[in-house]
Amino acid sequence: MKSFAQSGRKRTRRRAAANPRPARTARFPRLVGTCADAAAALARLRVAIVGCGSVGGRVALHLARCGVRGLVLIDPKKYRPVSLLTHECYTETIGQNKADVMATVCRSICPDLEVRVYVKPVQDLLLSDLVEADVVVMATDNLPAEVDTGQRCIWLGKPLVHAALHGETLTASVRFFLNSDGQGPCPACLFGPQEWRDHDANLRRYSCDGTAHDPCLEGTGVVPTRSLSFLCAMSADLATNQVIRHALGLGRSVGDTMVEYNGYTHRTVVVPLGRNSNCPCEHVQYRVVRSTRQISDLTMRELVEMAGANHKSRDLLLQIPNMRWIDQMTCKCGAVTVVRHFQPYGDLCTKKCQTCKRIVVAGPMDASGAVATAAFDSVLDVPIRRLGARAMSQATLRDANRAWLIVPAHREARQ
Amino acid sequence: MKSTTSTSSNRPGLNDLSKVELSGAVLMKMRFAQLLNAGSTAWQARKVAELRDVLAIEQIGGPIKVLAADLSGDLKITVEMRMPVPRRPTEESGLRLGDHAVLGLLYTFEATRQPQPGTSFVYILDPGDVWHPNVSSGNLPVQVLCLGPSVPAGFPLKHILLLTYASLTMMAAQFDDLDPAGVLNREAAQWWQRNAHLLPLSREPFLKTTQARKVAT
Ligand SMILES: [Zn+2]
Ligand SMILES: [Zn+2]
Repeated sequence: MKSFAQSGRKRTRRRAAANPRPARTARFPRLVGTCADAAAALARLRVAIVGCGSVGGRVALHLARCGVRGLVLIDPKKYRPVSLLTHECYTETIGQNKADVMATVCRSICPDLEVRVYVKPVQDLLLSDLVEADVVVMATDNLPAEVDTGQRCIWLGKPLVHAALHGETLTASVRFFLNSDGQGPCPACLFGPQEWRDHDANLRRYSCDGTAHDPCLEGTGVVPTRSLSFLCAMSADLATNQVIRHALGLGRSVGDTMVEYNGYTHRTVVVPLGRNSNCPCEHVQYRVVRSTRQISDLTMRELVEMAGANHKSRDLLLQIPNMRWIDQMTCKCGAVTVVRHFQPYGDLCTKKCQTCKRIVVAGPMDASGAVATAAFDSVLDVPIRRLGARAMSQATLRDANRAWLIVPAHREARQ
Repeated sequence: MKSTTSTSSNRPGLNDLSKVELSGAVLMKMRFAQLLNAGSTAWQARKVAELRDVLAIEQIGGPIKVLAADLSGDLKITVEMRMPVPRRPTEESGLRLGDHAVLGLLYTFEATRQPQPGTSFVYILDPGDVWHPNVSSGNLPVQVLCLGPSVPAGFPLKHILLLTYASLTMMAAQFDDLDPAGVLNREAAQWWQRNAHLLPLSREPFLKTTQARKVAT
């Protein structure tokens, strides 16, 4: 992840001194039906944008101008020459990452804006990377990314604004998934057979050496959306409108609705969105628990008790990203060596067999990414870092019916 | 219009495993594994269903025997699969064939919601010298079988077993090292291309069954 606040700040400040910056609220209207401090409410808002292209990039610019507190910009793709036709980009930015460029522009509009950039597919983010966002905007034509973003927003209880368009019929649409309790609709709930076929055609594939190939990133996926620039802008405008309406409580709730504008008829329709009971996504909401101490400093007992879970429960399952738990290893001689340690994926775990003195290497069957907390019985009061998980930005706990995401109370900007 | 039923065997196929009643030692294995099963209700149920399918294959006389099963975290099952297994050729005896392999099957919750690399499900615990284009060779603690460029989300374990059987008996293996999916053992791939007359190692189907079919006449 990149944080580029430092790079642009000095130059921007010098420029700002020459041209005094307008007050954030200089053009802020007295919106009908809001209290006087609507601008202040927006100044607390943090929005994550998945896909910073022709629609998502414009949403970022709008929100920067509206004076929101922060943006999380996620996009693995770069501008190409063809982007000039639909995106807010110029020849100078071709070849640069979309999220990076949009972050730079947004910061030049609003130097106080907190911006985080993730130059990678949303599927590769940790769940905790979206935990600070108040709203998530999704504007991607990559269906696996849509399903994944929808799933993360259900888990985190984040409102999700999905901006889309249909170039051939001049239609811009915005779906607003409220995700108040995990029981409402999600993008995958609305998929029909054709969407699932396109979804499957764009799934990530792997070579035998483990290299991942994303058809959508490599341009081998479905034909990219064809549209005119103004329709992308229309979709971005509608999406921003829904974000602002939700954040300020303007008008009737936009939760679990779709608004659709058609350029041929000038007709706008608003329809409710419903949950599909056959949706393959997990409609369960995590409880977010913020630890004032580093998670790795906690003992397993403290972690579980902080969440309000029961460490004696035989249902309880712990997962730490990129870590696997190795309980024991079995030597070829049959002797069992106790390990009880976390090991980063990809690292070899070796021990000397006490019976035959051979070196035993833990195999994939000795390890587990998800661990029943019952396995920690003998190490319940040992700090997690001493069990091998030193740097961790989140942990998840699941029992039969509940789920918890444990994150540090204050997340520092990471490079 | 009348209907007749032609049956050459009443043994169920892969699609009827849920109808198979577990009994005896197989049922005991199921009960023992269920003593510690953690995670969400859906994930616990999924682990039980996948293990049940694998045990049902054993119950109906399929070519596997479940040696161990662990539902506590990720789903982990160790099975012995009976089939001809190609082992690294030697100067004296050429290609050697084992009569079984011990396989570690690993199924994570992630595999139920995201497509996974073909190398993330099947590990060959024994023998340690499988000679196959899609089985790794090298310094890893165990050999890995690659099932293809991507395994779809939620792909059932019974089908992973079927693919494993077809792959290890060389009924269906990927030999082309120029294919984007690649091979895991280039030397073996080239050896098998030179020795294609030995293919396949078996023509026995995974389940010897002809299901009862209703033929409308
Ligand atoms: Zn859904
Ligand atoms: Zn030993």
